[in-house]
Amino acid sequence: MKTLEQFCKTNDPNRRKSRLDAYHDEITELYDRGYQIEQIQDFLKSQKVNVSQSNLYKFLSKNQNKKSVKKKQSGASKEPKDGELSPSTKMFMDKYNL
Amino acid sequence: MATIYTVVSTKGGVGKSTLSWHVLPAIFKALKKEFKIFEIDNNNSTNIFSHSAIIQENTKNVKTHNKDITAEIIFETLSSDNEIIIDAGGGDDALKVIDIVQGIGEANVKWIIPLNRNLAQLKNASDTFQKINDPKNTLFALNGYSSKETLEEDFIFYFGNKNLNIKSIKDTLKISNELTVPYTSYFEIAEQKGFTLHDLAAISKELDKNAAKSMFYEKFKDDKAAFLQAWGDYRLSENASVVLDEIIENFLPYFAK
Repeated sequence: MKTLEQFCKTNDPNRRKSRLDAYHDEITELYDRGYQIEQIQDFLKSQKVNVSQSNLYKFLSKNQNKKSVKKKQSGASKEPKDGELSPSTKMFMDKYNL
Repeated sequence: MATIYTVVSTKGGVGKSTLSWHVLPAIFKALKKEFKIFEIDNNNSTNIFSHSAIIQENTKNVKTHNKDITAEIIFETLSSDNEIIIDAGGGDDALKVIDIVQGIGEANVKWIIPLNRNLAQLKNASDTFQKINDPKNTLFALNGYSSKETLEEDFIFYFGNKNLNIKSIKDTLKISNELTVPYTSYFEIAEQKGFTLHDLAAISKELDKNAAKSMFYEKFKDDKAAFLQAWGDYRLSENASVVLDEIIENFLPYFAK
């Protein structure tokens, strides 16, 4: 049976990597500090990385720290499952094709 | 052991469904408690909330003529720690449901009697209270106050007014506390979308306002009407969220243990 390392030696990963992966920490850090998506876009532009705001938002949503993209919860009302959007929010995003 | 919250009134139109479908599920979500709603009438509320996952996943419809209702509820209390909401129909259905719940035997039962400002309905609520005959575990839910400042004025027949010689039903029945729900159109606005208030509010609680603004603008910078529509939808959710937070603040002292 092949070990994980043996498998990796003989197979290259096919999954496409986002060019934003290299800036993951900077992007989430800026977002957590309260910078708007367009300001983060400006920062990336200064690094010669051009990305649309919606792609940037999607990147933040998909990544491990996606809680950062969501509003800090006030009061006791919380989303149903950690890290997952409610069906109503998904419907809203689908409606406007966001 | 789970608590059975029975929302009951012999009169219709006092806010039973508002409490059973909008308010209590939102409170349990806020407390991260699992729950199950038993719909014991013919209102088909599950159809109204067709896009609400929390309602569709947590509801069981049973009819009052179904002899197994008691067994269904008992089974639920024994097989899980889920909180149970019982939405009882009005009129005779309400009386039957009181009998059914009282027939469950040993159980944590809380009774919630919704009422609005109308004197006739308050008398009805008072009759329901006496029929239940469990003052310690019964709460009135005053549905539709204009503002917290005017609560006692809004529900003058409940609180009474010595200056105007209006007797207090609260004092007569020796009720110590009550739940309160503000008047709002957002219950119905949510229903029009197939949502509960919780579902509608979730959009703005989960999507950051600045991120939403940026996304809308990027998507619709050449279509101002579409931008305004999306923004209007987001604002609806924000307003619903404000109402929901107020309700949660009102209810939590009685539900957070």
